[in-house]
Amino acid sequence: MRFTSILLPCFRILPWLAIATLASAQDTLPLTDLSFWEKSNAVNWQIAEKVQASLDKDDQMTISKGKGVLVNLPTKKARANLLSARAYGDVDVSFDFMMARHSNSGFYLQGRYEVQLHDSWGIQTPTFGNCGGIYARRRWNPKEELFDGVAPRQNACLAPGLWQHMEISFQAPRFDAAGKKIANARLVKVVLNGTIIHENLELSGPTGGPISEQEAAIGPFMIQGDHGPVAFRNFSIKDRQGKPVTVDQPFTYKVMHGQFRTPEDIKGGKVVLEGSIEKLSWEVANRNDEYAILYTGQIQVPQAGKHRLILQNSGRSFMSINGKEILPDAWTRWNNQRTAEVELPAGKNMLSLTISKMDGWLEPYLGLWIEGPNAPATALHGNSSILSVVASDPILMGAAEPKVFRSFMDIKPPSSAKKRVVHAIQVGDPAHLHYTYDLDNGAVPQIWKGDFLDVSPMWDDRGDGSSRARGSILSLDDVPVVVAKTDLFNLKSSEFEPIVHLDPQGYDLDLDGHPTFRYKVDEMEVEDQIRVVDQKYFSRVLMFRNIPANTPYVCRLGLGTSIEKLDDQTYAIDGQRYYLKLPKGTKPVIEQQGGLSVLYVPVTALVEYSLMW
Amino acid sequence: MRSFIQFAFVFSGLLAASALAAQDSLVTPTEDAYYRIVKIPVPEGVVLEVGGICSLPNGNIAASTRRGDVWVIENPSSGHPNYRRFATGLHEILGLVYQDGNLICAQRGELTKLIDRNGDGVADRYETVYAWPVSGHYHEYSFGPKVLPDGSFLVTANVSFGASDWWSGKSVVPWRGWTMHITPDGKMEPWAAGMRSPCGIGMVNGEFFYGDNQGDWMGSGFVAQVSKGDFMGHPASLNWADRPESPVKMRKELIFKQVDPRDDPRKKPEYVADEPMTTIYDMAHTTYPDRQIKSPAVWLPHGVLGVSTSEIITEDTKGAFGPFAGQLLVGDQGMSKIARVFLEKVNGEYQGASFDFRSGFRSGVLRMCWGTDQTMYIGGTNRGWGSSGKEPYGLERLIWTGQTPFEMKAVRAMPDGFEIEFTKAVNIATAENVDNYRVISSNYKYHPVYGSPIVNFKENAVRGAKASSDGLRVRIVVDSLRLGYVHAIQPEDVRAASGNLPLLHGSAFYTLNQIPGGPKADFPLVAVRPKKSEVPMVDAGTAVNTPDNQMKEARPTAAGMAAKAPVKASAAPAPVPAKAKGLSNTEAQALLLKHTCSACHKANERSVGPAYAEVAKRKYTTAQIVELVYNPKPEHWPGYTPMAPMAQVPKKDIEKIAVWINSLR
Repeated sequence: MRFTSILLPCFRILPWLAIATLASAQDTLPLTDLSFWEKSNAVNWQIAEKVQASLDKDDQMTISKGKGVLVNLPTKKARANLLSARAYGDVDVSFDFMMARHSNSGFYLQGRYEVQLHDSWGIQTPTFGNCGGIYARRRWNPKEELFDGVAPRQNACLAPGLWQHMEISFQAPRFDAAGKKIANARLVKVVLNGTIIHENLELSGPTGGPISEQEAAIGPFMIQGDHGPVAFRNFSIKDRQGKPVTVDQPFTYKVMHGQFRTPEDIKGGKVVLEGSIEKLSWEVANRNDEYAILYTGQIQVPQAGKHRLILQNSGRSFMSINGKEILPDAWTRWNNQRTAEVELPAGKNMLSLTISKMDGWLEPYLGLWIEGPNAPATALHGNSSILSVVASDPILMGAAEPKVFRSFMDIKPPSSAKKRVVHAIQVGDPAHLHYTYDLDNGAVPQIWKGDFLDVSPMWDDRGDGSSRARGSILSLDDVPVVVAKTDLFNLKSSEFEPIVHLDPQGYDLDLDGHPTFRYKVDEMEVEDQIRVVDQKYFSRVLMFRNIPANTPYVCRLGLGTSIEKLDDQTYAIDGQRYYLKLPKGTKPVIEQQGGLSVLYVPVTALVEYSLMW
Repeated sequence: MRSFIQFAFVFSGLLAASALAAQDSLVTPTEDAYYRIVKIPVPEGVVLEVGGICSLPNGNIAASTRRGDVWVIENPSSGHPNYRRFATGLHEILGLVYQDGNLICAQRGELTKLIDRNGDGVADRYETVYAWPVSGHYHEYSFGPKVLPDGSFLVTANVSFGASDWWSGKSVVPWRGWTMHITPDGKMEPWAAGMRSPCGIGMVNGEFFYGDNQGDWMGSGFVAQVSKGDFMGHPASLNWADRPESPVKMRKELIFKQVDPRDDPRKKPEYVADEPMTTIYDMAHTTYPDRQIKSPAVWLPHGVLGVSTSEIITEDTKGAFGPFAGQLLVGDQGMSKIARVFLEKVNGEYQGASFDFRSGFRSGVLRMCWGTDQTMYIGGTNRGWGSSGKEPYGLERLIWTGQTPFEMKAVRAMPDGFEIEFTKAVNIATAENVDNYRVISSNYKYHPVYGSPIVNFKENAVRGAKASSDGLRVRIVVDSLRLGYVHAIQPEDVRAASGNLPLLHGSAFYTLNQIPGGPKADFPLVAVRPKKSEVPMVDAGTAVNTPDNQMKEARPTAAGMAAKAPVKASAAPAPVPAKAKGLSNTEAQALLLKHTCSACHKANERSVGPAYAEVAKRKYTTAQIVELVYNPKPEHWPGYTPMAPMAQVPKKDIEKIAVWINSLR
């Protein structure tokens, strides 16, 4: 059925209706047509197969016919916004999007709260108007004023023409029976290109350009169409406007004191306290260690379907629903999440949870959440049950000046398992563009933009010698650039079995503090220099000396599942994940084998390319 | 204020330890009268967690930090030194030397030469001398370099730990647990094996010395001279002993033939009191004499002098630093102190005595060097490991005041006992009375358990004492000397000729690896006296509140916890002790000091181990506390240094202490 909710003051009745029409908890739109969207006469929104945007020219996006991608190509006449046919309240939505250069769009939750989509490539200090910003509200006082906009925590925006990824978890405003707002809308989490840019952010009211200034329990998605080309794919929606699970009857509990190692120990235990309580808490034990608590209670499940239970407990725990064990007896620390997915019938369900603890050093903790198929999670515990853990202060490192910083670095290369790079250097640049250099391979296994490093993993307490990239990471393969031509498709490089035996020489710093890495491959001397260009991307220069005649080596500059030539100099890697750009006149060779494409050039005194993303 | 408090501790320690000294202690000078600690100012914002320190020829001091910086500290002896950041962004640097105009440091994964090519006082070339393998485990620290006379380098490499068996030292990539020898042009040869946590490194007369942290296979701190091919005790390193480039002749199987490694990733090895045992001395001298096992030259008794041996330096100021020229000064990270070691060579083997020297540094003592002004510079850190000095980091100078303390300057082995050399003439009457001496010998087990209790201790009768005519030397004749044992020599009531002073530090700990030949004493001996009833293991004159430190590497993981053996103790709640029956606080402190408990624990304050008040909150029964003292459960106290089993403490004393602990609730 179709909603016309935007025309109605719709707070009370409608959400439940919407649920009935949703087939599954998570929908990924096929984008084979525009049927998900409200019908309109505007022709700027269309379905395409492939999209490209120019790096050099503003507002230029080209498409090829086909399916799977939603594109907005506005003209002076056709520049309508796009509204979903359906209305949503609490919802998780994620999508890939691509901006044309200079373009501007926005994704509105409930047609009212806008997360900015914007070509913010290279912007150093993002505002609420840049990509990922929560656009400001508007009022007249008597002149127009903008207020309450929220800039993203950092600029995680990629270059025009690349596929970017956005994840939004949204909670609708709440209203009482009289229709009065009792809780603000909330962005539970917004993640842009892997980086959290907003978390638990309350929205005081509709941002600029809403379908209505009046807030509502539900409303349609709206995508802004009047400010330039933008494309979307992999559009996924997890509706959460279902009714949450509730506690039907207070939990009854039985407490035992002592050390309990097994469920059998607890069976034989002597009950010292019993009673009932609305919300679960370890505190009914009346002590913070050497206890066991048996909880039983009835929960009310509004909608049959797959439910997810999330348990965090200090000590041992086991749990059953309707007499069937869903989590077996196990020991965990408070931060080890235990989850169970279980089909529950609508109506009353009997939940029983047993916990015990006998480790004095563990902070007591009990948290239990249950998440319905289309519903937000319900906490079955009381707040004070999860308060005994004190978080430590983070140690963060910025790059206001160039930084060259050694630490272990955990990476997730696209073509192999995650690993810890042990001879790793993190290079930070004031332009918010950073990279990891693996000295063992002369490789750049990751580049990232935004904030530089979290060094707490290394500098808090003993630490583990590692740091973490804080910004939006582009993972690359941790393999050498300089390889024998016979190893062109070899991606297996480890410390003890390298593809190429590198002899690392260290690095030099220039007067500004930028490094040039030095290593040898046999007698060939290599200098590797990576620099930021226009505060937007990296250019890399490899300088070779003592190149033997008939050298077996080549420079493997690009590799990926696909390498697509866009113009004489520019190549898109891995389906528009990033660009590789070569100097004019370079004649690279591209070869393919078993799903892997490789771009290489011969070893010459100077080899140069750029990585743009 | 701080030093006042330290004085107070010194006092209470003296009172507790020696009734006789009590009378004099009011006027007895303390360490501070002879060696003064002076803090060097550090600019706000500089986190100077010193991992390496060295003196530059121009009088500056260079200090490298765990935060990865190298600072050059100009005019360091003034109240207003200047800090210049010479290098930054390095990986937890735990050693620094100056060589030919450059600074060279060990990072976690490589030896790096820092070169200032353009002369602006800041390094602009970070040159890899040699990069060694690491797996990326947190405990894979690397220490050094030390420079051999030919200009080549030695670097030592920590073991890592298992994931579930977090207590068990591992060598998962080549040369962890080894000393590596690296030439200036970047060639590495594995050089010696058996290290566990070899933070203690130093060059003595051109020879390499090393000391380790107490832990698995390491009963206590020590110093030992290391030659190419030596094996020092920890078996994990021997994973690589079969490689063609290995000069080490020892093999893991040979150890495990003698000692069950109890290598069960689900079960932490616990102390077993009554089992056949061996020592590293026996392994080296008796079991496998042809395998180049090297036992300690000098043990640093746990809880007294050290369990996290750090820098080893030679007193080479030729008298500018007091009376101990030529001896070794050895830092301890957790105890925030410096011990003194007298070395001699007997029958070609190093041995000698360790003594207390100076306590009370503000953080864990990690690195020491001599300034060009002949004072000592001390850099410290304690992040992640407790230390007696409570500051997270520190940079200090130690300055001789010009006064000579009354100390045992040296102890030399004799065919039938020892010769004690004093810094000042003794009162001959006190020195020639055998009742004024006590000698106790004991040893440490060689086993996979964390640390070792003091085992096989025995009082050795002192049968004669004869002073030299100048009063500077006393030869004592001691019964039943035991090879491979630590002999604690305590001239408790020997006084200086001048001022009737007691010894500043009352114990020497002599590790007897060899007994020299030569003539026996030709003075009359007395009959064996009855043994004294109690055997205090603490230096009577140590008199310091010295938490020890065990470089607590291991801490429990969820998996390790899940696998841990069940606690044996009963679940019954502790009875509330009747205070009237318990020890007074003063009595308790005396007992805690006597059994070295106070080396790691304080009543109400976190030290190396948890405060007793925290222990009290756990509501252990007396029986549980006894059990836990004999078989500690470090997994109960994550974030603290694991405690070693304290099997030498009598049960009745633990029971008294337990009641006192529970009274703190």
